Amino acid sequence: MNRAAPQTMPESRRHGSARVLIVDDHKTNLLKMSLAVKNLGHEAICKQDGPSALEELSRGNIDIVLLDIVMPDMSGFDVLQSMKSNANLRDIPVIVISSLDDDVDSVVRGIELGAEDFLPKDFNPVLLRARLGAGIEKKRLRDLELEYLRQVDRLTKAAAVLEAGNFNPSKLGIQEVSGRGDALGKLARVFLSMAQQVYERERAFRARIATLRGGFILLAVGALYGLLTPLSRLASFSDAHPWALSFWMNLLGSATLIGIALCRNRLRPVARKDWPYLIALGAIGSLAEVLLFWATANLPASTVAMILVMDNFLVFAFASTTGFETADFRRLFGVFLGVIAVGIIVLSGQRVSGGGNWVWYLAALAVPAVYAFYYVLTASRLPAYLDLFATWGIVMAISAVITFPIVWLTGDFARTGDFVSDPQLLFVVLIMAGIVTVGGVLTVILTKSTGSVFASQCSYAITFFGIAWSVLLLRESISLWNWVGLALMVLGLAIVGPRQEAELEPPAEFMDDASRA
Amino acid sequence: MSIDREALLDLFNLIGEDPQGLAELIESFLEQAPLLLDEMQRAAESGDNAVLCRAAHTLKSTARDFGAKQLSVLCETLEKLSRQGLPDHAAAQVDVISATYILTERELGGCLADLKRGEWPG
Repeated sequence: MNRAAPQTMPESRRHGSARVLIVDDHKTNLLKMSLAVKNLGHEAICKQDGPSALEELSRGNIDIVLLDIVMPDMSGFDVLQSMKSNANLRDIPVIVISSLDDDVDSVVRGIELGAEDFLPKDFNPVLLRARLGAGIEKKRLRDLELEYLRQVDRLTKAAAVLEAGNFNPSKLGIQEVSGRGDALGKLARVFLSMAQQVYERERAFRARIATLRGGFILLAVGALYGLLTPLSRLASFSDAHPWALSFWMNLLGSATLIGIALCRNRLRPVARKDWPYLIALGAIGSLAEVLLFWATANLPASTVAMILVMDNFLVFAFASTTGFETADFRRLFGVFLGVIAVGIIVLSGQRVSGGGNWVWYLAALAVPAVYAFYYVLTASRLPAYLDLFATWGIVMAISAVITFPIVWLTGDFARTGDFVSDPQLLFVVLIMAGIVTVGGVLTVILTKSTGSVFASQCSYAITFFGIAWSVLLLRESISLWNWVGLALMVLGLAIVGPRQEAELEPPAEFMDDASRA
Repeated sequence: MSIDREALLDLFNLIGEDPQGLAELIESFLEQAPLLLDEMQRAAESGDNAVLCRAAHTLKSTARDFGAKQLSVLCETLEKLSRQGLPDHAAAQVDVISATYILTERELGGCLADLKRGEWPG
């Protein structure tokens, strides 16, 4: 029995060499057959009963079976029957062993149950070689056929998956099929290259649409927020206090947005873990507003508007250091152009006004820094279960709550009457509240769909519109250098571009198939 | 001569003319056959014709492989008789087979010794 013990796994199945499972309850027969099989250059695996033979078969590396019929407990017929009812074992050829002289019936029954052939007990080497060879060859052809059918199936499935959605064809696991040298391989290669072309085309097309849509929203946000700068300067003419202005704006805005969310029945309770995030957003938002009011009270609105564009550089620095977006040379260059533009504007402004007022310049520079942090925060983790209006309404309500004690302590509520008695101031506050409300929602949409770097480009637009509105509403004048700076900003916007679209992953069950293949 | 050495040469040829393999096979037969005879004896005494039939069947074909013609024919007869039910004098028939096996064993032992000395099959 020692010599017939199961062999090691085949490292290489040489041509003509097969793994032969021999099943016989009698040790001497088993030894005889294993020696005979090895003599023909095959590998012999010996089992003395049906159950252990089936267990060996289920490991899936047997090429052919030599099966004795007469065995106690589980006969050869039983083994044959359970093999034929198992889809994985059905195609393994079985040769039944029988003494033909008195057992014709059992040979016939074995063949009827699906045995490939039979071998008499007193077989000779020539007969054994012929029968084994025929069975093994049949198994090899069947294996090739099954492999072919499996690859055809993969190709068909891949085609169906591609038709259902826009997936990267190179991820569909049909490279193996396309490596075949025959007609099927050629078909797979043609299919793959065509699918790849269609995929790339659609991807580029969608990226263009995203840029275009992002561009429109960006201009709208710019036009709205740009109006904020000259309006805050107008408000400061009426001697309004920054904290009070921020409080009223946020109160009106949050009332409107939460009202909308309620009407749409979209107001959900906020999860406890999201509160710190929303509170941070609210605090940063009101801080940015107050800083803006302070700066515009003391500097020309157009200059403040120009400085706002600084946040591009800062957003990019935040987002690329935290890994939210990739920093490549092209995008860095775009941001660099924007910074140069701001430098030109600030320096030319200093030259005209003869310097001074650096504190207010610093306050103005702090605004974009705060905005930059704000954009990155918005892009990173807005709670998905919250409606856009509800989110923004809650954030503005938090801003109002935060500014309330400050307004109370500074005694600015006493001057609330000013708002009512000064129709111009009331009008300005109402418009500013509307701007912050609509602009905030648009900013979230923009940041979510294009990424924080692209969204921060809206500060270019805000700057541009801020200058335009300042000229229109406040009759401020713009120097030639300022125009040069603006041109550079527009160029920077074009160079940075929106965030790369993520690739869709094919359906999970298909990928399971592919990894099994 | 109750052993047909031609049959043993066929076996030798079947396993690739490997003297060591043939020696192992003969040793295996000499080890297994007494177990089959015991099984037949017990089955004849307890009246289990199915076990008797299967054991006779196995001994029949292995005996034939090793050229023990007489032993094989006796087993074949008992196998056929016990297929339908327990034959008359089953135990006595097993005794006859056992006696025949003693001769077979002696001669196969001689072959084995020749094999090991390298004097046979040449």
